[in-house]
Amino acid sequence: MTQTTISNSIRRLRFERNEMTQQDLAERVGVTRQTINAIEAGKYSPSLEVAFRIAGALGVRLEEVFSYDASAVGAPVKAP
Amino acid sequence: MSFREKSAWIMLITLALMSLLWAMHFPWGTGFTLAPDPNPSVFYALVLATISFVVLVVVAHIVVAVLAPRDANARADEREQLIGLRAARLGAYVYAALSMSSVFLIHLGANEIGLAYFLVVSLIVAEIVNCVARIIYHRRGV
Repeated sequence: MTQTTISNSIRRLRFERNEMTQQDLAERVGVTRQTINAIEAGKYSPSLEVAFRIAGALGVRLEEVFSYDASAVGAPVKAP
Repeated sequence: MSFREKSAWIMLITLALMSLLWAMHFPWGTGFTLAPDPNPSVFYALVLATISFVVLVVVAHIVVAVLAPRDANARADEREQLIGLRAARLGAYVYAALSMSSVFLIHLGANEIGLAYFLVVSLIVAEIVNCVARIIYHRRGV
């Protein structure tokens, strides 16, 4: 299975919002239910635009939905 | 299963069935030297298989669309477009490789009819690869 280095909290956030279904979220974001399912399962990394739309539909900031594991790919992480 | 994955399954199954139908009429064992075409049933079977393929694919898509109209009418999102592009690229590589290799068949004694049928087979194989890739990308991720 193709796994991405981007993890997300979409499933938890959906359930915290009156158990929003994948279909509901998909309609708000403008993608298919299968794409939301693939993102949740870590099989697909969405574009930045879709990522922002997901965060907007869930009413949270982008970094509350997605997190990037830089160490998994050996990418250097700059100190702020 | 999304409409586009169902579409890939429909294309794959129908293509495999119609290719089998055509292959049953192929004069196996004669290599690529079919000229002068001693068996016009190869050509007639190809025409029949092509027409049947188009009709079956259209009917199957209509049935699937009627059963789930919302899925069928939805535009392809970015993931589905990416899947389509990657699968088409794989299919294009296969078609390019097979069609280029048809040149070498001339040195194996192939004639123009054998080459023409080989190019048709190349197209079928490339489309099968395209469909299989689409299904795998939908299932395993892209």
